Amino acid sequence: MYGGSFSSRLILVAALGLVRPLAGQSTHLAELERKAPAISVESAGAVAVGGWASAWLAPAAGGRATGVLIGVEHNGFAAVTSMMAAARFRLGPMWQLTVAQTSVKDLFDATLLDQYPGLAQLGASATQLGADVIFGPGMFSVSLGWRYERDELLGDAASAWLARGSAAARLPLGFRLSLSAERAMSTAGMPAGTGRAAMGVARHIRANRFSLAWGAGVIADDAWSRGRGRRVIATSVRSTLADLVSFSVAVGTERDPFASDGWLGFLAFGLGLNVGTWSADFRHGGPGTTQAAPTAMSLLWAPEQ
Amino acid sequence: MALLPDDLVVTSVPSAFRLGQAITSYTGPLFRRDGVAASTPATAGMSGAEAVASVRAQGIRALTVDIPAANASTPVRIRIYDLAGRPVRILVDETLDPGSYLVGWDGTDQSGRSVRPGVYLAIMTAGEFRSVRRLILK
Repeated sequence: MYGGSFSSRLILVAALGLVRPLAGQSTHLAELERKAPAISVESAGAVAVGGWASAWLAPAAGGRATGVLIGVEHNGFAAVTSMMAAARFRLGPMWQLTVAQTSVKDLFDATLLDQYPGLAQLGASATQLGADVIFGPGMFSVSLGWRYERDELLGDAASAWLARGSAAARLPLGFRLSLSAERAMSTAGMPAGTGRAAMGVARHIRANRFSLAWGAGVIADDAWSRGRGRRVIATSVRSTLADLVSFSVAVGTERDPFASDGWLGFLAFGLGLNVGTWSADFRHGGPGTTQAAPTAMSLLWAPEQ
Repeated sequence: MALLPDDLVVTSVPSAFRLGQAITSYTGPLFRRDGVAASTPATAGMSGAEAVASVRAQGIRALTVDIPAANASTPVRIRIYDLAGRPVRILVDETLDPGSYLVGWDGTDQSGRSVRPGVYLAIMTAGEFRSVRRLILK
């Protein structure tokens, strides 16, 4: 019954402002963890390609790249917007700082908001902060760092600290190898799983004013108990003409047992423009269905690539 | 019986298609809510604080569905999708007579497994009518 005792209990909860932990990883945190700036046509396929295209997922694979990047991605189907920013700089060793946030708009019907304006204070968002230190950019490099994740849903929040490490190496015949792993070390309301890992290989070919970067990789994501079992396999190609304009395409498949059965294929396309130390990249598509294909843009100032 | 505040109980048949969010703890199957006022306990409508507290505690798990009186029986489908557009669950797939209905979601996918908390999209199609509303699982 919707009687007085029930209402009283709800009012008591609101009055005391009790913050109850979420039941686990939310849909929007899962979305945030799948994101990468547009300069990376797709995370798994580009994990070993190098430079800024790889740095988001595997800082060690970023090599000598420095600079500042900002990016935005929008999924019109679900009204989900993600903002991303990163900086790489030398202060002794190489450092990489990242911040990203995903928020879901239009949670409530207009008629419901008109009736209960207080609902506007309830939101759904996820935030990531990260800091990594990278040693030995060159033939072999490693990174160590941490990441803070916060998951907020209708006034309740959960958070976690994750340790992250990555390694990248140049192999014979022009191949590159990259590995990345992270694991929750301290959580508040986010039931932790075993961790998350990514691995990829890549190869660059350069002929006169044309260059081609091919990459392939896998992601195994068991970081959270409500995210356990996510897998991504993808490959990407980025062709660059005269160091000025680049075209990228990625194809892959994703499985997420907490969303739907089976593997779901996806495509992503990218366009990049480079002028001096500035780059603008655009991307359409990525993991998920075509009806929810996001569009992303990133702007990069990179004095050293 | 569902926990129904008064504003979820209707006594007249609607005049237009409509899909709406419902603040209630009901998570069961589709049922007609017009003409059920007599069997529903009389309660005062929720205050703003009660509505916020209710949504904060249990999210939005139910939808109201209106089929206009001018229509004959109409095939209605409501599907739930996640933020990446992946189909999660078929909530309603049946022919409905004109009237007002309430349907809840128990937070499971088509195979009966619990999905993760968060925001989902419910898309209703009924002939030419199409509407999207959010369901929010805590």
